[in-house]
Amino acid sequence: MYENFTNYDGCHRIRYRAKIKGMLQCCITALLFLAMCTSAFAQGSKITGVVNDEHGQPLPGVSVKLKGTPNGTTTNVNGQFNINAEPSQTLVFSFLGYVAQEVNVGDQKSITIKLQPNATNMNEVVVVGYGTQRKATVTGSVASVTNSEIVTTKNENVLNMLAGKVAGVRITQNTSEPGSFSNAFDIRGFGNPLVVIDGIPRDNISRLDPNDIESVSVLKDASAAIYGVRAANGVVIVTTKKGKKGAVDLNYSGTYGWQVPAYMPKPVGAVDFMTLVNEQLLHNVNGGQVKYTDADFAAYKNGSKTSTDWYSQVFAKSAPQQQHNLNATGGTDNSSYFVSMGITDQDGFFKSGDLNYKKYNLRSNITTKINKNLTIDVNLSGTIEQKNQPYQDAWWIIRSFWRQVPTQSIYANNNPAYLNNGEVDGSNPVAMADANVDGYKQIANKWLQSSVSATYNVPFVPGLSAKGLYNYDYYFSSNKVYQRSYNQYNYDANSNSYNAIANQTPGSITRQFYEKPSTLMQLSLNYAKQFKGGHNITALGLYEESERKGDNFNAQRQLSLPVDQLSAGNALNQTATVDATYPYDFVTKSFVGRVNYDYKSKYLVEFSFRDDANSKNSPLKRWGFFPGASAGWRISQEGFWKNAKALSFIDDLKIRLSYAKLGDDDKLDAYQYLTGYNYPASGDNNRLPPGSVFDGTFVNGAQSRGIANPYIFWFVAKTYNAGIDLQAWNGLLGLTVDAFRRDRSGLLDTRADNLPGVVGAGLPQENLNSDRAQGFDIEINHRYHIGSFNYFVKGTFGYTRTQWISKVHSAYGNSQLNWHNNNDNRYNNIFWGYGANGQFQNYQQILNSPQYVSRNAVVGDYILQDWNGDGVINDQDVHPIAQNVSNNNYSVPSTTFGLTLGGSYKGFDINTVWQGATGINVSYIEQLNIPLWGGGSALNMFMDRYHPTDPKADPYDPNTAWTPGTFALTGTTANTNSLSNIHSAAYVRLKSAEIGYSIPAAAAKKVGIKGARIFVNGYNILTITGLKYLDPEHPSANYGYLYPLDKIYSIGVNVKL
Amino acid sequence: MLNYNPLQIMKKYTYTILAFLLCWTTACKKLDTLPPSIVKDDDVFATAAGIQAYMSRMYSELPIEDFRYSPERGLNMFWIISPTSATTGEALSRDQNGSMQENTGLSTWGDCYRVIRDANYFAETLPKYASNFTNDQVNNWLGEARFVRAATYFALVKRYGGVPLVDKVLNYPEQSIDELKIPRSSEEKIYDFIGTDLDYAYTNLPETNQAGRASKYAAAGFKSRAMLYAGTIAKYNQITLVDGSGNRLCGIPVAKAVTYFKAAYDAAALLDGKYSLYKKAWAAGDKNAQYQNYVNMFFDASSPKIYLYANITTLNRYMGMMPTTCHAS
Repeated sequence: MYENFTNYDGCHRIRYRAKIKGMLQCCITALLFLAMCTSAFAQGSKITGVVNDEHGQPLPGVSVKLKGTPNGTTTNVNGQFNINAEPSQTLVFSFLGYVAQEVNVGDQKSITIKLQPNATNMNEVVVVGYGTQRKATVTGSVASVTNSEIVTTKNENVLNMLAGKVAGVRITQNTSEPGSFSNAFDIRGFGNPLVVIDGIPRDNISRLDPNDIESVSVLKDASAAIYGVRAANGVVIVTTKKGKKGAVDLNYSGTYGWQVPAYMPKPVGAVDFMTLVNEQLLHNVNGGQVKYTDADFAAYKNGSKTSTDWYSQVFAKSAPQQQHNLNATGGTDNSSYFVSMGITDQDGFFKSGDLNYKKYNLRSNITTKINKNLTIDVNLSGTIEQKNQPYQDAWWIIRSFWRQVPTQSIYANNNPAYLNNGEVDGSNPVAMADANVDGYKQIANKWLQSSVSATYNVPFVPGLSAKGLYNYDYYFSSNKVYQRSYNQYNYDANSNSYNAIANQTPGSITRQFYEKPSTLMQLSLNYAKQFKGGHNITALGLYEESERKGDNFNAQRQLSLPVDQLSAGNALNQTATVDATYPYDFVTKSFVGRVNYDYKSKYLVEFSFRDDANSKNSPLKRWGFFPGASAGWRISQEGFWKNAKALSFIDDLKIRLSYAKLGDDDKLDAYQYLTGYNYPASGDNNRLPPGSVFDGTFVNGAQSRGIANPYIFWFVAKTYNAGIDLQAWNGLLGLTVDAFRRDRSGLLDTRADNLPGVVGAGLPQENLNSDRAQGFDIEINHRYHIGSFNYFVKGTFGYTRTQWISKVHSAYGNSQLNWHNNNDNRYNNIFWGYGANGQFQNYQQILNSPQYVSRNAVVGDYILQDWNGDGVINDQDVHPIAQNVSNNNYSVPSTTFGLTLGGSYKGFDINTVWQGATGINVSYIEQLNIPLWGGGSALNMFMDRYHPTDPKADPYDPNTAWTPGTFALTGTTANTNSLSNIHSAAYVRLKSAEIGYSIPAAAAKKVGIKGARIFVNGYNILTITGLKYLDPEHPSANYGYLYPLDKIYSIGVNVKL
Repeated sequence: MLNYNPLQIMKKYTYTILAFLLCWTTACKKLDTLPPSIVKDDDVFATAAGIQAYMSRMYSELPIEDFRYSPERGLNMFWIISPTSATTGEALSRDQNGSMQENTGLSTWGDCYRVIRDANYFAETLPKYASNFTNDQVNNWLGEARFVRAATYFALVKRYGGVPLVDKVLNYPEQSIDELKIPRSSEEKIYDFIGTDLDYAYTNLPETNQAGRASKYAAAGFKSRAMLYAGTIAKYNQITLVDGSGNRLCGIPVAKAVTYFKAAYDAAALLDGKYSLYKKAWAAGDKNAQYQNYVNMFFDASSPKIYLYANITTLNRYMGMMPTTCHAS
C-alpha cells in the first residue's frame, strides 16, 4: 500500500517528506482501524446473465453489485456478466444515464435485464438553501455539479476546477501564484456571491480538498431568497461527502504535475536591446545619433561579451506541484463516516525555490443514529496552509527582471560574491527573488470548522422533524515578514574595489496576527406530507443566530542584527498597529420560512421569506424582510401532452417563473449610521498631523466621523427569472434555458449637491443609485453510447450585462458633457477612448493623410480615428470604444461558455473541458506597452515591430525600406486609451484534458484491491485567442506584472482499497 | 441495565440530547452589539485624557499661517516644493515662486468650518458630561473651545470679510440643505463675534495651560491682534460690499475704528506685568541686534512667550506677531 506514495519521494524537502510520512502513517493506521470495524464478505453460487439497453442491444460496462457489499463486477462487451451470490441477496445494476435496477437473486441462475434510460435524471436530488429538493419539482434556477464533474480538472484551486462547468457562473483565473488563490468569481455578473459550505457561510471554497466535495449547487434567482440580506449576488452551496453504509472504502487519489508558465513574456538579449536603443535614438525627426557602435554588437556576437539573461536567472522553465488525498467511507445501519485527509504542495517558478505553498486538509463527517428518531451529525474539518515567498512580491520581481538591461551582469565584475547594483532602479531581481538575501514573507492560515446537529423525527406527527445545529468556526492567521538589509555593489575597475550600496536598511521584522471566530446556531422544523388527491406539501421554519468576530494586530521592530525574530528587535521605533475595520463584531438574527406545494408534481409553487437583522445596521433599519416566490408547470405531465403522439419525444418539459426581493449588506461594515471618532486620528507627517504636541509630548487627536446617516440600509435587489427545463429522446437531450433580470436600488453614494461648507462636514453615504443586470444562461446535456463507447457532452453558456438605471450626478454644463458623463440608463464598464485606423504603411499614406499628422510621424505609427471628421484628433473624438476593459485592473467578460466532452471505452476514459469567454478586452501599460520603458530593457515581443530594414537607415528618409510588424517603431507608443492598445481578450481554451485507464476488476482482485485507475491530465494546455503574446485570462492589474497563469501536465492514480 | 425498558432508554437519550442542544444553542446574542473599533462620545468625554485628545485634534487643524502654511498649497503642507524667501509681510512663509495671492482653490473655507463644527460640538456636548469633571475644568475647556472658534473665524474674516456665522452644530438631514445655506454676516459682526468669544475665553481660561494650548493671556493677546485688524480695516479700508439686506460684507464703518482700537489697547493692557515685548537681544539703533532679536523670538525656548505650542516650528509665530502689532498701535 505504501507504494502508492512513492512519487512523494520526488519531493526535495526532507523535513516536509518526513512530516508527511508521519502523517500518512498515522492516517493509514487510523483508517485501517476503522476498516476493521466494518467489513463484510459474501460467497455463494454462480449466476450468469446479460444486460440490454431499451432497444435490446447489449450494454457493456454496467456495474453489477451485491447490495450491501462492495462486491461486484461489470458487464463485458457483449453485456454479459457472472457473479457469485446467495439466493437471499439482491443484485443492483447501475449504469450512467440509466435507471438503476434491483433484482432478488432467489433461485435464478441466469438473469436477463433490460435497463431503462434515466429519461429525466429527474429523480436526482439537488441541494438548495436549508434542504434538498427533487430536480423534477425545483422551481428556481438552480444549477449543480457533482464531484465526478469537478475532479476531472486538476488544479490547486477548487474555483479553477469549476470554470466552464456551471452555466452563468463566471470564473476567471488571475494568476497561478502559489497561495494567492486569486479569481474573478461571480454568478451572472452579480458580484461576490455568498458561499455556504455544509450549511454555514464560509470563505474557504477555493481551499477545499476537491475529493471531499459531494456537490456544488448554485442558486441563481429567487431560490437564493432564503438567504435574505446576503443573497443578492446569488448563493453557492457546497456540500461535502457523508459516509455510505457498507464496508469501508479506502480511496487514494494522487497527482504529480509540472507547471509551465503560460504566455510569460521574456526580455530581449543584448544584441536586440542595443538594436532597439539605437532605433529609438534614430527615431528623431531632428536627427539622431546611435549609442551602440558596430564594435559593441560584434563583442556580443563573437562571444567576447555575454548577454545577461535576467529572466532565466530568476524564473525556472517548470515547477512541480502535487496533490494527494486519502479518504475512507463506510458505515453500519446506525452510523456512517467519511474521513479524509489531503495534501497540496505547489512550488513557484522562482529558481531560488523560495516561493512555495503547502496545504493540509483534514475532514471527518460522521452521522450517528442514536435511536429510531434521533440522528446526530458531527462535521469537523481543518485546513492548514502556508505560503512562503521572498520579501519582495512576485510582481515586483517580475517587473525588475523585465527591466534590467542585458548589457549588465548580475554580479559586479562577474564576481558571485558581489550582487551588482542594477543600472535600472538600483535593483537586482536575483537578490529580490532570494529569501536568503532580501528576507521573506510567511503567510500561515488555519481554518477550524465544526458543526454538530441533531435531527429528531417527531414520533407522533408523521412528516415532522426538528433540527438543531450549532457551529463554531475559527480562522487564524499568523504572518511573519522579514525585511533583511543587504548590500549591492558597484565595481570600480580603476581601484579594483567594490562599493557597497545598502538596501532595505534598517532591516525589520513584522508579525501580523488575525483571528476570526464565528458561531452560528439554527433551530428548525421541517414538515413533509403527501395528502390524498396528489397534494404534496413541504414546509420549513427556521431560526438562525450568528456572531462573526475579527481581530488583528501587527507588530514591527527594526533590527540591528540579522536575526529574524521579533525578540531581537530594537527598542527604538517599535510599532504596533491594527488594520482598518478591525476589530469587528457582527451579530445576526434571522427568521426563515419556506413552503412548497405541488399538485401531482404538475403544478409547483414555492414561497419563502427571510427576516434578517444585523448588529451593523442602524437601529432604525435593523430588520429587513426578503420574500421570494416561484412557480413551475410541468406541461409534459398534462394529459393532452401525454396523449399527443407528436410530442412523445419529449420526456419532460417544465416552465419556471420566479421573483424575489433580496439584499446585500456587504457595504455596511463601516457602521455609516454611527457618529463618533476615529481614534487615533488619521494624519500625515507632511500634511495635517494626526495630533498635536502639548507640553512637549505628542497627543493623538480624536477625529470626528462627521455626519452619520441613521437611515442607511442594505442594497435591495429584485430578481426575476424565467426558465424552461427540457428532457427529450429518452435522455439524449437535456436543455435548461434561463433568462433573468436583477434590479438593484439603494446603492450607496453621496449626493452631488453637497452640503454647504458652513456645516463643516461632508454628506454621509446614502442609498441613492440603482442598476440592472440582465442576461440569460443555457445548459445542454447529451449522453449516449456507440457500441461500448459511452460518451457525454455538456455545454454551458452565460451572457450578462449590467447597466446603471440612475447614478447620482450634478447637472452637466452642456449636452456633450452630459452625453459623455451621464451614466443613467447606460451600460457600465463602457470604455471611452479613440478608435484606431491601423498603422501607416508607407510615406505616401502619411503624406496623403486626411487628418493632421505630426512631423514626427513615421511608417508604422498608429492612426487614431478622426471620429467627428474635423481633420484633427482631439478630445472631441473620444467615444465609447470597448466594454469590459481590463486596464491596470480586473475585468470580467460579458459572455462565458464551457463545453465538457467525455467518454469511456472499456477501461479507458477521456474527459476534456473547453472553456472560454468573449466580451472582454485588455489594455496593457508600462513595460507591456512601451519597449525600453523608463530606461529599462524591452520585452521580446517588441521585436515584432515596424522598423527600417537597414538598422542604420534614417526612418525619416522617404526612400528607407521598411519591415512591417505588429508594433510601431521603437519610440512610438500606442495610446492606452485607444483601440491601438486595447485588444480583445476573447478566448477558447482547453481548460483540462484527462485520459485514464482503469484496470480490469479481475486484475484488481488479483492484487488485492477493489480498483485502480491511472491517468494523465493537462491543464490550460491549448489556447485559441486573437490576443498576441499574452495570456487572455491574465488581467492587466498591477501594471500587468502579475505572476503568470500556468499550464500543468500531470500524471496520477486513483486506488480503491 | 437489562431491567430497563429499551423504549425508556431511547426516550432518555432523546430528551437528554435535545435538552442539552437546546440549552447550548439558545445562548442569546445581542443585536445592539456596538463596533469595538469606533470611539464614542462616552469614551472621549469621560476623562481629561479624552478631552485632551479632542483638543489635540482641534489644535492640529487650527488655521494658522505658520511654518506649515504655504500660500500656494494651503494650511497643512510641510512639504517644501519650491522654497523662496517670503515676499509679503503676511506670508511669512515659503514655497512661493514670486509675489502672489493665496491660492483661492484651496479648501481653507471648508477646513475652517470643520474646526468650527468641532468647537461648537465640544461646547454643546461637554456640559452633558460636566459631572465627570470639576467646574474649573469645564469652564477652562469651554473657554478653550471659544478660543479655537475665534481663531478660526479670524482666519476666515481675514480672507473673505464677512462670512456665515455658525455658532452651533448644523445637522443633516434634520435640517434641509436649503436651511443650511446660511447667508454671510457683515464683517463687523464677525469681528464682534471674535471679540466676544475671546472675552469669554479670557474669563474662563486658566492663567497657565499646557505648552501648546491657549491660556488666559493668549486669548487677551489674540484679541488685541484681531481688534487691531478690525480697527485698521475700519479706518483705512475703502472696499464696501453690501448685500441685499444691507449687511456690509466687506469693510467696517469708519466710525467704529476707535472702538476697535480701544478694544485692542484694552486687551493688550491685560498683559501688563504678565508679558512684555520680546526684547532680550534688542538694542536701540542696532539693526543687527533687532534682526537677531526677531530671529531669537522663534528659537529661544526660554522666552516667556504666550505659548500655544511648545513646538517652535508651529504656532509661536502667532504670538511672535504680537510685538509688531502692539508697536503699530
